[in-house]
Amino acid sequence: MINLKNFLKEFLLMVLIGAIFFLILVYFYQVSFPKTP
Amino acid sequence: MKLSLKNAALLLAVITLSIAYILGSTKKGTQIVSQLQKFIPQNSEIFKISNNPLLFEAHNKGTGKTLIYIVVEKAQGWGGPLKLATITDSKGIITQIVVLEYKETPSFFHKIQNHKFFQQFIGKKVSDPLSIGQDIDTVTQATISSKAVTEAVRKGSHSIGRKILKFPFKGAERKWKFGIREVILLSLYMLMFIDLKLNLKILRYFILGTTFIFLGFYLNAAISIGNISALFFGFIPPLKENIFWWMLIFGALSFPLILKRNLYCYYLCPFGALQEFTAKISGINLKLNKKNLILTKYLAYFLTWLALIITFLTLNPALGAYEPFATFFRAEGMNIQWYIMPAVILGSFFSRRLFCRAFCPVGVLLSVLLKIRSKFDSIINRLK
Repeated sequence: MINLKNFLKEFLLMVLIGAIFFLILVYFYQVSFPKTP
Repeated sequence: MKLSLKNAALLLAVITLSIAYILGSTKKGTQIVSQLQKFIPQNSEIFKISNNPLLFEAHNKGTGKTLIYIVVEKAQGWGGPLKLATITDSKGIITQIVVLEYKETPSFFHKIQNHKFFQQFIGKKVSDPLSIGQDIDTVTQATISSKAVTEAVRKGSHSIGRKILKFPFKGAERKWKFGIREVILLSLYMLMFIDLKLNLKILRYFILGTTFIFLGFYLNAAISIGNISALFFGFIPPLKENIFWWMLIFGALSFPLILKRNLYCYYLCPFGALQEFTAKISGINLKLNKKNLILTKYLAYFLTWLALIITFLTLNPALGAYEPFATFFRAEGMNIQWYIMPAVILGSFFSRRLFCRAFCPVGVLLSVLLKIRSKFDSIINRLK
């Protein structure tokens, strides 16, 4: 039997990890292709 | 031989990193003369008069009178070599400093520029000492970068003084610099070894608290992937003036190789300390299931690989450093880093050392060193 509370907690944490991962990828994109003024 | 998925990924990572390294290294250097063109007076022509150091002289086209001298010199900064041109008038008075290349973290380098650090050199003679503590002051929050700029200006100016203007002077000598920061780091190392013997929880928290303030807020010297990847390019600052850098970086690297333990992350990383404190404050530690734990581990490996690829291709270790250390400890960073840092700290309230487990490239590199050491041990054992 899956514990719903635990499942939700873990799910939210994984969403946060995914969001940080995405932000780091954006950082890499920004430093690799800097906007020229 | 059967190739497992893990080994195939490892092989692919090594191959791609090698290719990126070779591609980056063969990139052509910047064209110095064209960079300097706008600083050369009108109606004049430029001649190269020496290759080592790279030295130019600009003459008036009509009269042939020397107008300026330009010397290009390099010095080792925090992120890598820093190349700059020192321009003097015909009498050896410094009129301009032009930065041609730098690999420092941009926000730190701007600090030097905003502090009018470069203006200190203007009007000085090439025979002056041009040394930190004598006639030049550092910018406190960017000491290593300021030292590097001063060294490059001094080397260049003294060459003009010695080779062309024949000034009788002695160059400033490099002196051993052992100060309070080296003493504190040494004390931290000693406490760490005491704790390894005694295993006292309170002592470890004391070390973490000290490193949080000292390596974190005071020095902003948390080791980043930029410091380690700079080693691949041979960017190592001179020992005499940078004992602290040597103690910190080579200390952290030698713990896994010699003592077979990653002591830096456990005791000394100020960002690790921060995350332990946030976990203590919240009292929450959500545990991920095994599958997700493995996923987060591979996430850190992937990001480390990507950071190294970017570093090797751009030849700029500061760009690969995606950690939010400077954003937290010095409130320095690009827009996007202002989203990464709070998200990471938020996560650390719910999952102990979330950044270390899922994102930290330094942790990955130090654990690779641990693996190398254990591989080495098993080979030695097999030979016995």
